[in-house]
Amino acid sequence: MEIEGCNFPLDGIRYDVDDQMWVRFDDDGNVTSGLTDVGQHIAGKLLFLRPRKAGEDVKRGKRAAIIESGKYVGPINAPLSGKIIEVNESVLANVQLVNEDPYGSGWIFRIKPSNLDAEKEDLKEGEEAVAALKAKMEMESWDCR
Amino acid sequence: MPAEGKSILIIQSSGLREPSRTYAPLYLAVSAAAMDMKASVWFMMEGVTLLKKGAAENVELVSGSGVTLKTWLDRALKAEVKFFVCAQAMESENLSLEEIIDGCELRGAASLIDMIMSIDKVLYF
Repeated sequence: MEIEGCNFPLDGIRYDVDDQMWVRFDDDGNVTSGLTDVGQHIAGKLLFLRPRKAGEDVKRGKRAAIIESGKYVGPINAPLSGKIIEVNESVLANVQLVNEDPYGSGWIFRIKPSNLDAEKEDLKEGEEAVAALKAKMEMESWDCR
Repeated sequence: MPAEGKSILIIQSSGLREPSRTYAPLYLAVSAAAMDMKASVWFMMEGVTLLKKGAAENVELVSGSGVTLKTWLDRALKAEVKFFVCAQAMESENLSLEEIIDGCELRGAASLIDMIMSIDKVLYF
């Protein structure tokens, strides 16, 4: 799905629209997560990523990493509460993977959710995600062009 | 040692005459705030000129980027970074509180010394 030039795959992916994070539920019950296409586009060419370490607990909507670019610095918030079980070492070595392939090799961390039943509904999917993403992008005047 | 919850004071003494020295202090202040630290910037000496209304809009480090010093001042204030401005420097630069951006607190030298003695870390620019 494309909105204002930004890519938002819908197959198997849910979105935290406020924090521009995507989440994929993996077969082992954990989730893989990263920054959306519009998120990376707004930040610009990333220069550094400093995530919390594997083993640390995170809370939904609270800082799980800091990203830095030439024109932006700020937190990446956890889309779900839980424990970080893995950080993408490839992204640590080459943070621009997040710019180049945000939903693929640019994934940032995997989380073992601790409050999934209560928090899952906050992550939008399908047509509900499209409507929420469109509204958010219009409100913020975001695009990827 | 985790930075979270600690306090940092960043002293900015460079002003509009040295644009290349104006970004990093604010970038660091916003970074510290994003790391859940209590961040403050103390504008002194020429640094107070950065706060003059309408001035920061014209300081663009990377030409054509659309990101100006005003962008970083706004980001810092939005991130709840506290801005303190030196009363003596304001006097030297012939500036009044009405002439600088909203969100700044006017303080004197004794306040700065007090703050330095109580804060976790201080950075000087």
